[in-house]
Amino acid sequence: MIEVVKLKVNSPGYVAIDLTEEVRRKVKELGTTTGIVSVFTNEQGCAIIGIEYETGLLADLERLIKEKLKPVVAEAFMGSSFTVPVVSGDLMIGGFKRIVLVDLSGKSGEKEVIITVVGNAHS
Amino acid sequence: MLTARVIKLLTHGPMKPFDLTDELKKEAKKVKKGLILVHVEGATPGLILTSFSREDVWNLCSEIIPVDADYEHGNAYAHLRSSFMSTSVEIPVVEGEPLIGQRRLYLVEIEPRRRMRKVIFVTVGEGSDRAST
Repeated sequence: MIEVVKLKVNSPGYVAIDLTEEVRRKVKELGTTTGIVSVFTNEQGCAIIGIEYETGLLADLERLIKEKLKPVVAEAFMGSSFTVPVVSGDLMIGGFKRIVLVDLSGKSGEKEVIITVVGNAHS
Repeated sequence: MLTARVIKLLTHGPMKPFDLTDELKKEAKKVKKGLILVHVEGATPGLILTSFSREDVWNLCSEIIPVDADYEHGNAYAHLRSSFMSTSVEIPVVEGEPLIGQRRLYLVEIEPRRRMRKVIFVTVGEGSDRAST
């Protein structure tokens, strides 16, 4: 089974959004038991990373980006996708790591996130 | 074909590499051509496929994300290094060989303490005569 699902996410233009539950829901809807799920974006100034979704840590990430990278260009260093295994029907991501869209574009609006699931499903 | 295999590894840091290349090569033998996703569960390890010396990688980490930089989150340096190294790597396979060239695959245990880490290999591909399921 291969499914490509487009997700629209509303963004104020400078934000980190936790996508994990949305991704988990899609995987369950598709009935995937074993496989891989890639979460990807091609939106300008946006990246998809794995990180604990905690306020202080996100502030530390913001400071790192501002001090060491140029925010808009940071997408190139942070990655356009994060890929996670699915085993026994669930994301094997651990208890703390989350799948996060980081938007540094400064442009508000709907942003597209593409979820690709490759796997075995319930028969 | 599609398979998933989980291995457990006892690790310790700080910034200690654990070579997973042989496990990767074993996994690649299952398919003639395909893709292997390697993922380490957790918020503070790293997974890197590199041809550089470990010292070069560690020095770069220390320069960009130092251990102590007045962070708000207690062990922020470990989380940030993990996010930038990533915990997932996808590797193409042809004729049962992972196309890694001169690179080697390492799990990096960033923090000092001992941990039991789960590493997951998901292999998608066209089967090999030597495949074991």
